[in-house]
Amino acid sequence: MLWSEVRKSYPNMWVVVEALKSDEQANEKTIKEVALLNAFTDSEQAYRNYTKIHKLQPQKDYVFASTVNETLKVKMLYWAGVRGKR
Amino acid sequence: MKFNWYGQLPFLSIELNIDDTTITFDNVLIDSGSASSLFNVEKLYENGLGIKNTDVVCNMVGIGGAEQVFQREVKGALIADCHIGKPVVQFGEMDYGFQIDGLLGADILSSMSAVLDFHLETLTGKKPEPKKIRLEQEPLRK
Repeated sequence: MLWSEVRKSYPNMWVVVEALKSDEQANEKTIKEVALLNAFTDSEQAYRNYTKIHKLQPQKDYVFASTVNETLKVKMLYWAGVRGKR
Repeated sequence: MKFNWYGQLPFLSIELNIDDTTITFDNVLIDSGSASSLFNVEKLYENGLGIKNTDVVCNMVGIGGAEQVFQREVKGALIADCHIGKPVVQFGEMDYGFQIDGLLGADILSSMSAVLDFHLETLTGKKPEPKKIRLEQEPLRK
């Protein structure tokens, strides 16, 4: 499903998706194609759903975002330190 | 400001002003190994705030995997008696297996010229000094 289609079907909502196709340039990923998992009106509910499924399958590229955004862009940041330890 | 030891790591309490709400983050790790500063999103929810659709979606990638966070410029921060205006911070889940409300990264630590003293167990910030204006000598008029 294209991000534009998700926006059309779920306007002004929060969605949890799996990124299927994306372009990465200069530490920014633009996600073009996704598999829709869940849609919510409330960002807190969407966030809790995202964290739950991310823990179950951390290797998958799950994203949670607002469909208000015309493009689904994810800034890639790299760190050292305590972050990421599970 | 004195910091506290927890699990052999230095922690302190800080305040963030988010949308005119002052939120105290008690267990914040002083983490110069993190380029940016991350705070626990649960604290936003506890104070009736949350993630906004204007926040920048970020994917933090590091040892042990990746996690999604949200980046935003907040109104201000109070750290070790230093007021920091409009810091850019991140919010996310901080499920590291122990109580942690935030990571104070190198971005904010450097902006406040922080000095971490392990002998006195303090974190202090230098107040910005007024810039010295160097007056150019006017050319002599003929």
